[in-house]
Order: sequence, then structure tokens, then C-alpha cells
Amino acid sequence: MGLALKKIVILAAAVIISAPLYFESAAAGDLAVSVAVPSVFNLSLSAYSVDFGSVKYGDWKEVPSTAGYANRVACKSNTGNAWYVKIRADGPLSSASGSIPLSNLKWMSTYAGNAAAPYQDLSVGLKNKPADGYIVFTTSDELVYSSGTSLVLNDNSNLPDGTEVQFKYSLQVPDNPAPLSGSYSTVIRYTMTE
Amino acid sequence: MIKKAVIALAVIIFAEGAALALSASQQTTFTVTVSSIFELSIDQGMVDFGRMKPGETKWNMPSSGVNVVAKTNNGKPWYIKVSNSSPLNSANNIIPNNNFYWSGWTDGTGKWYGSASDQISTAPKIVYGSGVGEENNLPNGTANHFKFKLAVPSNQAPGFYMTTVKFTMTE
Repeated sequence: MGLALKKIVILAAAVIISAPLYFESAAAGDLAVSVAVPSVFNLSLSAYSVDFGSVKYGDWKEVPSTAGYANRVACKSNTGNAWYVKIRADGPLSSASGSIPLSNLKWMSTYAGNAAAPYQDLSVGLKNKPADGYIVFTTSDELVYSSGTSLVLNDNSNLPDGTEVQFKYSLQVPDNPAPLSGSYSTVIRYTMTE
Repeated sequence: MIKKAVIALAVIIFAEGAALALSASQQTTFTVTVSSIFELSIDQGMVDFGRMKPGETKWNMPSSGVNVVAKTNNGKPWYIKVSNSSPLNSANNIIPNNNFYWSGWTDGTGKWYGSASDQISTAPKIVYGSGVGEENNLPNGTANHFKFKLAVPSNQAPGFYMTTVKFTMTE
């Protein structure tokens, strides 16, 4: 009986000693984790300046290009919302001595697609297809492309590759009245909106 | 009072919602250089007075006139002058320039400086000055028409006489 009581006292002591250890390991188990993913919504161009070169009255000229297009607009978004690309001109081609009417400056959207392999064709989103030919620039925003219209790929969220829209440009130099000799310029603006 | 506050709050919320609409923009500068045009052309390169006897005079050669067209888009006043390289000559003989005359008319709006009896000279003489709007007269240009008169001196030696008449366009 004395030996049995001794065993019980030892067991109780072991429980009492081990209990604090058990409670310490349970209190260190919680960890709060959080992350904020920023919104991505931007576009970039392959050409920030476009030069038609030297022309004469009556000339019709496309912007020279070896890539098959004169400019490429790359659009990226991760918002999941439909987005749009629009284009407009600030005004006619102007110089110190005169201007070339904007009706002579035109654009064409030749292709839209995923900007990396496997390069899915998203041209269904183009408002004006290449077959529609050249479109006259205006000073109002003209719709070029709408995302999320392709059954192949929904590009409302298109990271990391983005969507590219390719452009060609043409100029018909008037012949009557013909422009004075000189250097003419204007600014073309591309806008991406939701 | 409460209603006004609610409306104001709604307006603020709406305004913030509008501000959240995403938009991004980039721009490309387009340039083109329209080249300078400054051209003078004539519709015929030869005027032949044919066979003439000493003392003979021929007027209005050629009968249709020489059509001289000037084109420019430089935006500046310009002039046409006429001269010849030397008097009509054959070997060592010449027909002095005081026997060789030019005349004509213009289709332009500028000033025609000629009279019916202007002698050709080796020094360029002004014929025409551009008028209003002709600083840029593309695409058709401005046409001037010339005819020539030659009086062969009565003691002129026989021969085949030639000279080159030059029309010059300057700013």
C-alpha cells in the first residue's frame, strides 16, 4: 500500500510538471497572413513617334514598316472588367505656315491578339476589321477594340501577356490646294478605359 | 435636414465611384515633311525661224507661243526672267541682240513686265512677278506665253544662226 501511494504521488508530480509544457506549445500556433494585389491597368506603344518621311503634293503614303504594322498598342488589365481602346487626333497635321486637313490622315486596325505564345487571334474584338480599310482620324475618341468578345480567350484579365492591337497609318497629301513645303506634325492619342 | 445630408452623401459616394473608373492613355507624334516644289517647264525646246532673207523680219514665232509654266509651294514671291546665252551666231558672224525681241502674255494674277518691243539681252531681264496666291500655285502652276521677233540685218552674212534663250525662275 505504501509503495502504491508512492507511485501515485510520482505520477501526479509528472502530470503537474508536464502540464505547463503542454500549455506553452498550444499558445504559439496562430499566424495571421495577408496580401494586397494591386490593380494593373495600362497600355504601352511600340512607337511613340511616326514619320511619313518626305512627300509631294498628290502623294499617297503608308508609314513604312518591316513588321507588317506601324504601331502596336499593348494593353494589360487584371480587373476582370471589360475594357476598350479608343483613338483620336489632337488636330490636323500642322506647321508654322499651314495645315493638312485631318480628313487626309487615316488609320487601320490590322490585328488584335494575345501578346505572347500561343498568340490567340482576338481580332473579333476590333470594331473596324482590316477589310474595312482605312478610317479617317477625328478629334473624337473612336472605338478600336473591345475586350472579352472572343470565345477563344477572355482577355478582360490578361496578365501577364496582355493584348496587342496593331495599326497601320496612311496619308493622302492634297494636291488642290496643295500644302506649302515644310514639316507638319500632330499628336495621336490612344486611351484604354473600362 | 436629414434628407439633405442623405442626398449629399449619395452625391459624394457617386462622385467617388466615378473617380474609380480606370483609364490609361499614351500618345504618338506623327510627322511628315512636304517637300519643296520649285519648277519651271517649257512645252517646246526649239523655235525655228526658218529661212530668212537679209532685211526680212518675222513676228510671232512660234505662232502658238512658248508655254512657260512655273510651279512652287514655297510660299514666297517669285519672278521669271529671260535672257539668251549670246547673240544669234554662225561661225564668226552674229546677229546682234538689238534685232531679236520677245513679247507675250500671262495667265497669272501677277505683273507682266513686258512690252511689245523688248530686246533680248544676255543679262536676265524680269518678265513676270507672281501675284496674290501664286506663292503656292500647285498643282497647275502659273503659265506665261512667249513669242519672238527677229529682224535680220540687210547686210547679214549667210549662215545657220543659233542661240539659246533661257527662262529663269527665282525667289
